[in-house]
Amino acid sequence: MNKKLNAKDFILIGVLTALMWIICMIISTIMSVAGPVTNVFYPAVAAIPCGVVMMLLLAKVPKKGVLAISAAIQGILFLLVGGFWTIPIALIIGGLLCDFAIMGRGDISMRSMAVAYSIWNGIFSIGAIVIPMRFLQSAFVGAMEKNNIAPEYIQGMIHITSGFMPVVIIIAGLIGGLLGGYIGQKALKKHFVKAGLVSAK
Amino acid sequence: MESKIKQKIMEQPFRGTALLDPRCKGLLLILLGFVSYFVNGEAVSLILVMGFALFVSLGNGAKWAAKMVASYAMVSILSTLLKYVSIPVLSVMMSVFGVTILKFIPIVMVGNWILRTTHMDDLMVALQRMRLPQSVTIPLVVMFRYIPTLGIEYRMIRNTMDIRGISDTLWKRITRPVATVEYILIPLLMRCLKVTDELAASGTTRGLELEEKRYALRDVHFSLPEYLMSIAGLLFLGTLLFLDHTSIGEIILWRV
Repeated sequence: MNKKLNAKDFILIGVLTALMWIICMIISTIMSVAGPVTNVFYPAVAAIPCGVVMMLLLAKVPKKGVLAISAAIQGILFLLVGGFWTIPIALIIGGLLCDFAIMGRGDISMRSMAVAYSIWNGIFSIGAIVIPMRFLQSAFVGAMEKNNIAPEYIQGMIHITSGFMPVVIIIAGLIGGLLGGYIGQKALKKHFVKAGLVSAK
Repeated sequence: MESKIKQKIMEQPFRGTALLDPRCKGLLLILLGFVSYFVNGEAVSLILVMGFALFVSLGNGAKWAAKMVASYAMVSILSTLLKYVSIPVLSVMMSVFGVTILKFIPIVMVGNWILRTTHMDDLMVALQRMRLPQSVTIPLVVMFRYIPTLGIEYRMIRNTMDIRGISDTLWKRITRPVATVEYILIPLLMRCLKVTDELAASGTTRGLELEEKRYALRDVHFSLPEYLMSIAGLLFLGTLLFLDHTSIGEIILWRV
């Protein structure tokens, strides 16, 4: 089997990454508006529908580098819409790590896909929530205060990320990734394998 | 025949700032994203939006820029009005919502304008001249092309759901989220696979896979106008960041 990525694979990566990013943006906007408690768990929730897309992408193109390219492009998009600068860095590092360290050896199986996606999602929630709120808290809170965000919301954000909550957030990210991977693979078997579009191992 | 084709390619529906190099536009968008996060004064934010509206309207985007500036003013006034009403949970939610929209309006304005005024071929050439590998250029170009199409696909799927009588209400969406995701996402994914096949066939015949250096009929250069524009943009945004810390940053514009 040809292991090198060709133009068709690149096009599929582009199309599906666009879809994943749109879903992620919609969910993150809704959840950050809904309140501070839901805001910190948005990577976990966004991972569930995105998992379906990612599983299809990885099953359709079972080659090395797909997750890394997809992650890098999502990072570039977050940079373009003015996301906090830790998000793109976390996405790109996570993508490289998961692609080459976790799915690195041998063929890509369904299980390694789900595990890699879950860990990538955990790294995403570190970059999106934990680093800004824990290690860059003064800068982040200062920006929010000057932006006229209601003080109750900021207090809620500080409260929800204090103590050992960052661990819970990361674990939630990992579980969200696993759940997304599981649902994605079920949807894959139900719809795509039967239709002969994807062969699942 | 060949000269006719060349003429067709060289025809430019765009003018003014829309003719800038895609790299220059992208650079300005990234800078705008960074700065709009740190600019907080109301007057300074308005100057930021107005400045970029002027930039957009100089290149085939006057109507769009006017629309976005109008909605910016409207959202600002509305969110000021909301400060006088206090409903326990809802007012906190609305304040966050208002701020999110205000931060996104300039980015959406410039981003959408770039999507509409950039030929994807030019973007491809520009990205390759930056010596980016194919693994980044092709997905990026395809993605920028595909994001506007996703909305159309979504509406078509909703129409089909209506026709077959499985359309969902808000209540159904809340009570059965998994089914909703399945009904919308799976057809969308099927469509994506199909589009990929078509795009791949069309792209391969036009030499998308070529690794060699590309030549372009239209000139894609990062030359004097681009440098001037980038420096002007940097100066503009730098001045705004500076003004934000002076007394101008504390002017309250929107009051009722």
